[in-house]
Amino acid sequence: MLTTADIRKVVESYGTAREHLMLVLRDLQAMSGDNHLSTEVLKGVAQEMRLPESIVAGFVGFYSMFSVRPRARHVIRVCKSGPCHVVGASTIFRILSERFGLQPGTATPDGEFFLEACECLGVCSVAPAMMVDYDLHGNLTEERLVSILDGYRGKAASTGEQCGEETAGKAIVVNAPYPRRLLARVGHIDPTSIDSGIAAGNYSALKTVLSGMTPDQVVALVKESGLRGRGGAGFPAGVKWSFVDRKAPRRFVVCNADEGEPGTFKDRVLMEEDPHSVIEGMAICGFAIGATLGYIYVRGEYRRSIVRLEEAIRQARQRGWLGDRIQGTDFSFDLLIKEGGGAYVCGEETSLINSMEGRRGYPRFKPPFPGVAGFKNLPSNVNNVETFANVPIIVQHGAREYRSIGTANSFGPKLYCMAGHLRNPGLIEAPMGTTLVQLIETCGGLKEGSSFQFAQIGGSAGAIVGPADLELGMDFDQPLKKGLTLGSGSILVCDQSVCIVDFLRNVLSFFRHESCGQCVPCRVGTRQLYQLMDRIASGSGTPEDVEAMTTTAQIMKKASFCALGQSPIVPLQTALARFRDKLLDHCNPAHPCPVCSTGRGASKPLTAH
Amino acid sequence: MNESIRLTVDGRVVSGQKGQTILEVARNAGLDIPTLCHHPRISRTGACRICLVRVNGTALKTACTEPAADGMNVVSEDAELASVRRSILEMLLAEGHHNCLFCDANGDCEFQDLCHRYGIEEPRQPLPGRRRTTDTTSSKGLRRNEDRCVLCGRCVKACGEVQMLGVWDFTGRGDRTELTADCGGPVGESSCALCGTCAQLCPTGALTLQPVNGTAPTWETRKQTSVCIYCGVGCQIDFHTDSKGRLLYANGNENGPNNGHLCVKGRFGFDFVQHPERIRTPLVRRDGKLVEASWEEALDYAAARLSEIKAANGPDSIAGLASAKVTNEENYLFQKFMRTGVGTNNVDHCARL
Ligand SMILES: Cc1cc2nc3c(=O)[nH]c(=O)nc-3n(C[C@H](O)[C@H](O)[C@H](O)COP(=O)(O)O)c2cc1C
Ligand code: SF4
Ligand code: SF4
Ligand code: SF4
Ligand code: FES
Ligand code: FES
Repeated sequence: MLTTADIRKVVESYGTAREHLMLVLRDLQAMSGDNHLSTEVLKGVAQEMRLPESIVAGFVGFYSMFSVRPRARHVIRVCKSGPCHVVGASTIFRILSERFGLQPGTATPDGEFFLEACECLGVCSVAPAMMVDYDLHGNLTEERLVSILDGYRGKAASTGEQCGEETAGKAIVVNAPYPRRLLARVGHIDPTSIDSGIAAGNYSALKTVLSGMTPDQVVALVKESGLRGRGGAGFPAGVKWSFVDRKAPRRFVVCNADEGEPGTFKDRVLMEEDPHSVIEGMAICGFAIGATLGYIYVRGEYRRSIVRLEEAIRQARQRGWLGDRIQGTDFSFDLLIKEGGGAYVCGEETSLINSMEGRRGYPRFKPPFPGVAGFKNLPSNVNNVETFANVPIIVQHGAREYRSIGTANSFGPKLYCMAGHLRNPGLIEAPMGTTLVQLIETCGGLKEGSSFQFAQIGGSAGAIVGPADLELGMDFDQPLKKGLTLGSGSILVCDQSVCIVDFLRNVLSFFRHESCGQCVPCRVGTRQLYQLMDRIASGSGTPEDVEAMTTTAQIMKKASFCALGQSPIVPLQTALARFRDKLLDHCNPAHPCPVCSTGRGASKPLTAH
Repeated sequence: MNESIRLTVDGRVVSGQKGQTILEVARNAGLDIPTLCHHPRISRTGACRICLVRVNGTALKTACTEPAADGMNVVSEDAELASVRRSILEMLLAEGHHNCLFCDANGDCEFQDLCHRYGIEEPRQPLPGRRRTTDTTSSKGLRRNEDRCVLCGRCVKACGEVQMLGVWDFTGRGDRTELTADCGGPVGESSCALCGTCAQLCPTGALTLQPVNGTAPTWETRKQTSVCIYCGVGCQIDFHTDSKGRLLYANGNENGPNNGHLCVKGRFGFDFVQHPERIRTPLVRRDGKLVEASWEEALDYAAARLSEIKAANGPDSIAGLASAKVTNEENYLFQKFMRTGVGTNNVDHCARL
């Protein structure tokens, strides 16, 4: 039982400002012993932070990492997103049910484990994966699963200081025939030592900037480089920087490290293995837009990223690369970390800002754009982790060399997250515009016995492409011509064992789970889409249901508040273009689908990579 | 700051100020754009998407949030917009559980009006019901039936931004979104101050007021605007009466000095007006019992007794206490009477907090 004094102590350690709500509640939940926040604790927090109780309750209700019901000492979160789903996430659930009697939403009778299904944990190349407390475990097999869980029995919940089994960046970077710039240091430095990073080139770009460039020159350089945002939309970064309102008394640099798009894990690798590259990129941005403070919003599941960034920030301050008067110049810049609580929509930049302020992660309407009114209503420049990591490269090598990498209008290197039925899935750094087939071949092609059926490009919100699209260059503009988007740069390759209907049902359950619920078309539409696809998968759908899905998704596209609700049409329409017959076949009860009818997805033996 | 702008809405040139939304400009010009989550007394939301309009030929923007700009060309409705609106209404109808037959808001519901306007029938894609909270008894002021809630957020902002209490917020996410009063639990046990603002701003029958003197179908009620008798703010109240003139419920008049707001007293404190036990004639005590008397009789009696007391014990043996429920002028006259008629400064007033 937590006392008022406990609550007060936690609140005092962060401060009473609403923006600290996430960490206050996270700590109190961890202190509860059974991973929950009781009504008394919520009331106590409201009182100590001088907030209406409804705000605290509403906040907790939004983020899936919180629970108001007692769970257990250890929370097991098994990933059910696409990349894990197609390699047998359902088998993990079956084993947990058979061996531990665990169903999602239940605990073992001894109060040791509580099981939850969750969305992508960002370790998709070692799928199927799960998180126990804050430890990530990939490449699960029945034996591994059982022995991992046995290891937690009787132990206190891991607090994240030790991150458990290493699913290290080194291991998941694919050996690729392309020069490494973004990943140059990954695997070659000790990410917990700034000296090791500096010896390998960290902060040399910031040094260049501080020894003679003006802020306007930096903005001009980034504009000239043609760098486009790596968070999904591909907006020119330099242009965004130039839009930041310079008249306000203060402004912020915000790094979007929410990385929730299923199949995406590039930002995690950068933060874990080369944290100073992100810090350096943000500091250069701070210099360019005249900001003295930056925030990195990291999804709460990325415990190791958070720990390593915290340590990197501490060391950077110590060495004068952050803080007051950096390297003796007039430029001061510091960084703080904000955490997410388990909500994909918080990757949307305005939703992210609301979350940073201790609010429910509802997107805000635009205008005003964050560059005019963002965090605390002050101008805030939001960029993705990988976008920031590109900045030092541009400064070091110049805009011209940067533009020589990649394709027209999509310059520079790109991180591609490869998952699914590949021989060596993982992270590839390749020039923008590398073709799908080249990327697949870099991963050693498909697994033994697998043949290419389709791929999903850019996460759950991405398009389904078939064998005819293998020559497609993976940059911003070429996919657009075919009505596709590159998105976050994740590529999920599916072999013949995957049933498209079951796959789409999985995608639609993701949207249903992650819709923020603010606007009508998405809140109701995601539920309707899932319901219709589930009906088709279970053999009781009709051809009219297939059409109804398109109609609903089109209304969502037209009328939804943010891009989350606008996207289900993309996988749906691209899948229908290639697999309409498969969907219609499912509507015939005489032909039950072996994959769909055995519950959720292919239940197959698990083999480690 | 006050830069004026001109734009075209449905072919008509209208003017407004920079900073206004398309909706504000259009409404000032008397043009009608349907809305649901919008309310002029709360900040912009943009969540229901009913007010989507076409801007400059292609883009669909919510009129309630999109800043109006010089030279803009706005179409408030065309075939596509109407079909989007119909779909949204159908979605809301499928999501909730709406039976107007026993809804308090029947006939006075913005959602019902929109469904009529767009000819909505039974939703084509029904959703298996997920019932939300119904609680019509715990609170002395509010009735809650969230199955009729369209999750517009007007109540949340009414309480948070107008009453500044923040009793309501949304909890859950996506299709599991619902309201919470404080940390959950019955609204009657919450920190609600019973101002009724949330119910007044709710566009549906999800939050309604507890009846004070009974109910009547909304189409049989009549609205009469009056001034609150309780304090010096002078809030304007719209009293709703039934065909027999019975006072049923009160809303703040949106154009009054109170901008539509009321406190618990103005909102609910009118049950005495038509109460059978209300004193309607002066009472005079005879043989230790109060009995009804005429004004003439009562005034004569009071005057006689006051004169007697003043003669026997001096004017300062008399004190006068006036009521806050009378007007300034009446209070002025009362103190005048005490000072010059009775001859004492022993005069006071109950609104002395
Ligand atoms: C539902 C949704 C989720 C998003 N998730 C992320 C994310 O996890 N990481 C990210 O960088 N951008 C994400 N974005 C895009 C951001 O809104 C924003 O465009 C991006 O952070 C801008 O950075 P960039 O210009 O450097 O790409 C998401 C957008 C939407 C609509
Ligand atoms: S589209 Fe979906 S996620 Fe975006 S605001 Fe609407 S409900 Fe929320
Ligand atoms: S009646 Fe007033 S105080 Fe009570 S919940 Fe509604 S707005 Fe808030
Ligand atoms: S109760 Fe009424 S005002 Fe509140 S969200 Fe629901 S419909 Fe809107
Ligand atoms: S970790 Fe499971 S899909 Fe990414
Ligand atoms: S009235 Fe504009 S979105 Fe609801």
